[in-house]
Amino acid sequence: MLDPDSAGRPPSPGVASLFFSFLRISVMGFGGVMPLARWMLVEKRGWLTPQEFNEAVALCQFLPGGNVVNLAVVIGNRFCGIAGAVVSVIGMMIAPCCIVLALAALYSRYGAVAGVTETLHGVSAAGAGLVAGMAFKMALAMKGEWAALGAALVVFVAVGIFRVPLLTAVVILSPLTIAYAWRRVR
Amino acid sequence: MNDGDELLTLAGAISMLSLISVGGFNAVLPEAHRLAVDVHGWMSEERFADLFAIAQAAPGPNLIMVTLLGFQVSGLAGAVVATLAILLPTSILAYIVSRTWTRFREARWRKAIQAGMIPVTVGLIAAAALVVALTVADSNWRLAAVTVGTAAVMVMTRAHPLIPLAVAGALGYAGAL
Repeated sequence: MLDPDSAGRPPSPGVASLFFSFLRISVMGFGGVMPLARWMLVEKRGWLTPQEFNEAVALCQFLPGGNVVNLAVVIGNRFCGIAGAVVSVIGMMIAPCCIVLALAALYSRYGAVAGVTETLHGVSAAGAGLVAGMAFKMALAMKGEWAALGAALVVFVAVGIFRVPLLTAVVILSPLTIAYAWRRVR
Repeated sequence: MNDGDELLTLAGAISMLSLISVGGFNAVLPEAHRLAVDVHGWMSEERFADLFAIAQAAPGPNLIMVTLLGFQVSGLAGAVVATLAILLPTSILAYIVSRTWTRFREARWRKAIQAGMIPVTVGLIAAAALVVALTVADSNWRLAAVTVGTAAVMVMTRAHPLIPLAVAGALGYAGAL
């Protein structure tokens, strides 16, 4: 469910808490922000259960736009309405925008700096590992739902191994998974 | 073309890009390249590649490349306009959808769509991890080991994700990868 449920969970965040959480996520997000967002929202703060995170991310993935920016909107709105959505997006964007402009200024003054490429290779490899670990944890949150796990595997093989274009895979497979879910929910 | 016209063109082009970016900014990277280099002639091929590399090196969502694109076109004003243009249309859409989503949380169609999107999303994220890992490793087994090791640490512990990133960055800097 994407709606707050107060039973046995930490208090809901206020706007300041949302702002600083998304700020922290954004400045640590090398090679992908989403794993950091999951770590912060699910494991550190406990604002979302693993299932709620899956639901929120699925919605964000299907909407146009940056997935983590959409996540900031959805999570911010969930806890603090439009004010929450606005501060979460600002928190997510403000620092990276300043950092990237500073980097561009440094680059045009000094050009490539020795060691940067090698460092980035290491960071990118670890970043891919973070995303892989997150995918595995998201699958763990689907425990027992064998049909859904099978569908996830099909998407993974189609897009990851056979390089089927993302939109093709989504257009063909999501009607099937939604039709299957339609027969099971009421 | 005066500055106001240029900013308007920039805002228009980037907000269109934003609305077609289903699957994230990387899905529209080829279109961004076409707009910036071929259609509007804002920069050379090489400059576009440089900006992409700089955006990759910075933390944060990868759509911040658009901030650099805007800066290249008309300085700080361009950076602000481009950033707002990539964020606003889709954020407003996400806000409306997320409110609608909450309102219809008990509706059967909503539950079915929600449940059906999750496996596709998980598969896509796993696929993205594989594609990036293969591109980065490029037959270097040490980099592949970093990816696998990081994934294992993330699955088995609740360690801070910055730890593997920092270790891998340090190993790379030291020339060990």
